[in-house]
Amino acid sequence: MADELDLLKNLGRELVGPDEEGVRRSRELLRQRIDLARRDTTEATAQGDRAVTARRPKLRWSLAIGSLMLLVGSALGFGLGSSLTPSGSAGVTFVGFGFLPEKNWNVMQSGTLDEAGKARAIAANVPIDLRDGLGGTPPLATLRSLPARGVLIFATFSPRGDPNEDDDYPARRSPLRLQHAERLAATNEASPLRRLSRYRLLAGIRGYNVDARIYFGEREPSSQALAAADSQLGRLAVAADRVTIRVQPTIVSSRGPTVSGSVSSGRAGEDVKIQAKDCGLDFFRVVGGAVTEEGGGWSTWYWQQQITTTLRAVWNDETSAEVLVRKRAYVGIQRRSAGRFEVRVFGRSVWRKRVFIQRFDRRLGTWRAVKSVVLTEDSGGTALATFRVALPKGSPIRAVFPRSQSGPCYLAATSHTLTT
Amino acid sequence: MEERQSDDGTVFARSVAEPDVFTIIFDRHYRSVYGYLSRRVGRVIADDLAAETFIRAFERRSSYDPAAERALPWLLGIAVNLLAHHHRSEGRQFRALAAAGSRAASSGGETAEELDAASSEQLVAALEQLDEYDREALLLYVWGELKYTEIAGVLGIPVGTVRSRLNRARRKLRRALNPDDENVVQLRHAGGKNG
Repeated sequence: MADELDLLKNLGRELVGPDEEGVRRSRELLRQRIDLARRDTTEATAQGDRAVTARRPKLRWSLAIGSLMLLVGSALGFGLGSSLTPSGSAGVTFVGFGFLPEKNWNVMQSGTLDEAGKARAIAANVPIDLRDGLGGTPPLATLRSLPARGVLIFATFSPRGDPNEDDDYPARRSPLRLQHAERLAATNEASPLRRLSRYRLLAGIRGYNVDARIYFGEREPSSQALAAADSQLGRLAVAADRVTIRVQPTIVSSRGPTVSGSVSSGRAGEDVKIQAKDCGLDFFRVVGGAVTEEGGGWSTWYWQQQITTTLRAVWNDETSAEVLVRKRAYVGIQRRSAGRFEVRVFGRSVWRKRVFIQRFDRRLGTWRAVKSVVLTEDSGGTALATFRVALPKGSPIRAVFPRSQSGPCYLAATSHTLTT
Repeated sequence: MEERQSDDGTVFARSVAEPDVFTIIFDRHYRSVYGYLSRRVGRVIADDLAAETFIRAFERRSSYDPAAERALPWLLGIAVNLLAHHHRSEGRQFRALAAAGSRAASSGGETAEELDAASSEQLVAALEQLDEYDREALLLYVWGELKYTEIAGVLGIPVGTVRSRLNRARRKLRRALNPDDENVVQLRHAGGKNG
């Protein structure tokens, strides 16, 4: 008797190797995503350069100096960040979220929005622990060793646009002040952070929501510590001058995605255009629009998506990052007469593609392919074919349009189930 | 050429600023991720999930810990999360595996292969009966070829818990394969891989 692990290891071994077509298709999908990311990086750099050049004559001196300090600060922040965080994460193009530099304060900041649409920054009047990064959790290693006079601010930035979320972030102006922060209850006695006092300041600034957590190294912070925190909060800058976009979900079937975002002016009544570039095309077209609410947030529904599409928002001359929204193909099956069925697939360029018909094997509890059908008829955005299957009455069947046939512009899909 | 020799952590770190570099990760690990997924949910769904795994990995590449030299556990962690939506497919796949074993055994022969095929059917039936947490750990160990510490990282549990889950899962499988053997109580520890 073989060892159970050896048996398990050999089970399904024949399934392990992917076919070359599958590998090629997966690599192609990844390549598309990489191309999109590369364009984002290039455009963000170009927009940052343009924005700095274009805005400078209009700015007041104080803002000009502030911007310069922010750039220097970002350099310092990244300089420190490079030594504290992985080399790769410090290489992100700076756009404008973080703390202006100040003597005796250490800063770690991401500078730009990550894939989840958030930027983060840490400022502390003590060294930031090497184990802390800019993930979603507060810098616990530094907080655990925060001395009595220590102050740490952990700030998260995200674009406005979700009305439910935006309600929690009252519109405020820079500089932020500690007096607007809410003191949080002490953590429970078992927590290693129980000796700290914590404050939280929520603010909507220039089209972004800022969530600043302020930590002090003792339960009753001294007036010096409070003043230091207040001063450092005043150096928290939201310098992005652009329009943002957020799309949910990014894989759609029948219903299109909700598209939202914000503009940095923070004003209501601004027009934002939504542009789309369908898979296979190399140009964007306007497919919708939205008007901003108070605080700069906007939201709309892109209902007409018929193919995998790249979306972006345009406000004045500013263009947001691009978001790829993948579309699942739609495949339907219906009975035409006894033993005769029709299968149809909605989508572009699906004519002459192949659909696989499967029947459910109750004995094995699995679907088994019974035949493949070529979509030979084209009916304006729908390709269809009729076919016959000779199966016992009552056999469940369905149609599968796999990724090998759907191409890069659609995800695979499965029809509902019929009985013969 | 230099990238080909770098560990995964270095490649991930570089890919944040140079997205193209991420294709190295795809080339290194696609087959392993696909192999794991195809055994669990079959080829058709595995095609989609494997592609989705690498797209998600790319989108989250900035959160990868560059100190981790091997990315496979992290990638399988993403794959495991994606699998959570395919329990039914997984059940069907297990039953298909069992049936394959059954057909091989139906010849009634007594060769080692035929006996193994019969055991496979029992094994899959037992696999389906396992607690899903125990099964997850076991399959990451056997099909994902991860070490104990890597499984702990994927599932977010202590290494000791991984050991106990694997021990429990193996004990149940062994019992299913040897229902009459009273001595099958405690398994020997798997040696070698338990990092």
